[in-house]
Amino acid sequence: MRRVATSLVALLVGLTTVAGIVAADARRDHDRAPITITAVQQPEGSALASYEPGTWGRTVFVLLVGSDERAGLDGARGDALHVVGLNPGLNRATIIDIPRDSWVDVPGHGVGRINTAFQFGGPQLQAETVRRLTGAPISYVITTTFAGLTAMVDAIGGVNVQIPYHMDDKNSGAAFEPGLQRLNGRQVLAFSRDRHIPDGDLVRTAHQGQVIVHALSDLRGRGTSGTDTLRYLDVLYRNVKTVGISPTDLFRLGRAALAIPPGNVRNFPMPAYVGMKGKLSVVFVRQPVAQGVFRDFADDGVLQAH
Amino acid sequence: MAAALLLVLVAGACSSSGKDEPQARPGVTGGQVVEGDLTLDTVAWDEVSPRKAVGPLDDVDRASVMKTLQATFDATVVRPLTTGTAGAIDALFTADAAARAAGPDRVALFDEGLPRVKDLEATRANVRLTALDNGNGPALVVAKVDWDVRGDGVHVQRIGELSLVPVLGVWMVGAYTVITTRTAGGSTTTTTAASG
Repeated sequence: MRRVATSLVALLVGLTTVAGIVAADARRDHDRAPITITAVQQPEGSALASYEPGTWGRTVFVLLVGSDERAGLDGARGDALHVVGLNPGLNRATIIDIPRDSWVDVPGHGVGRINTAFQFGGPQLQAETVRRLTGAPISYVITTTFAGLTAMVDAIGGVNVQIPYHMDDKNSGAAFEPGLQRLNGRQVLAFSRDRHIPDGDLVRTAHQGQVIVHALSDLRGRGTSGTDTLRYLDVLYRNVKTVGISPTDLFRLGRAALAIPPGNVRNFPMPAYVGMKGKLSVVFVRQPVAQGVFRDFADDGVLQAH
Repeated sequence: MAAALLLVLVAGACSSSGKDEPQARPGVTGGQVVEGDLTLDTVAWDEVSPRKAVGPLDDVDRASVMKTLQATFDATVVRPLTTGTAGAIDALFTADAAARAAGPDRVALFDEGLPRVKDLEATRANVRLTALDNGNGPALVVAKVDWDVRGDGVHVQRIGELSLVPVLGVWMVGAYTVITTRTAGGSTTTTTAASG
């Protein structure tokens, strides 16, 4: 009981002190939660409108967005973007990492950096922008702020991350030697944000995907039963704002995520290259390779031919 | 930074094992052992809700869920062991789950093919219920079972989970994960089954 209480206290203290602005129970103050899960409204008349998310055994696509919302910044943007395809039937999952500066069509706003979609239209427009790019019918968007990520990593006692090489970046705060290390929240954030490395934005995005896989591995070690999932939901409801997603769909989403072993999760960076658009440094989608990857991914959430 | 859901779930794992602390929570009897009784014992009954902290599952729903579970216990354990013939589960399981349970998973769910037991008793018949409130009452109940019955040289242990959903006002088993270990005539076998 003491361990449980300590963990609970760590969770709450982590949230309240590191995040600073977070209420202890998001059920009482949802608007201040650093993490939001939003059900995506499918376009009217679209074939996707008939898609029923979260049905047992069916593939579900989730967009993970790291928002750069911070005090003093005007309008949050999607700073990190990852599309996760969960296929409980095949017991496999794929994460497609999308660089934030990808130069794509943003519906209603012309061509621009993909992360501006979040600024213009929040999770719904970000999901629609990514859906048009990848073809994946996204059902849910999970958004977290820097503070939310930091607090959560600290609350669970850190995450194991394989550091690929020496990293020393003053902007992000990343200062690591190579090797497997257990990082705290601030360090995970620094590792995930460091772009002053070979292939900058592209590799940084892949690093974020690695963190997700490491976190999944940690999670599965702590219980994957239906009862466990319901217990996690209780904590989730304390700390997360949910928009338009029913408790049973959230339960099914959790079950789908927990059912897949980390070894069956593939992290795949979107084929891309860095270039210039006028004075802007951007990332161009590498076609036709990317189109083939997206087709392979969007049909069942699993990459078979790549 | 995109690991939000996973991290939240992991964080949940850190604080979730308090279920075994009956004095701290409502809806718990303490998990007493049932000796020689074939009535299931509900040792915990909680409800998770997006609107409020964890509380006890409503008495009416709890009784309704336990009615289905007791009938399932009787049909799959008690009857086959004491009469040699299993009971029907069509009214207890959803159509999909019943088809699987009566088909490929039958050997794990029904205690058939064992020597007839005259004096069957349960040394454990525990059920822990965790419900999920969907805004208008419970929409799902996960029953964690820990059953141990024995008699006349036969010993059956079953652990796992049965997930129940309301169908036209009746709680029915819609999915299951069970591990069954049977000992009879000096040999022990273990079978598993999972659906949903």
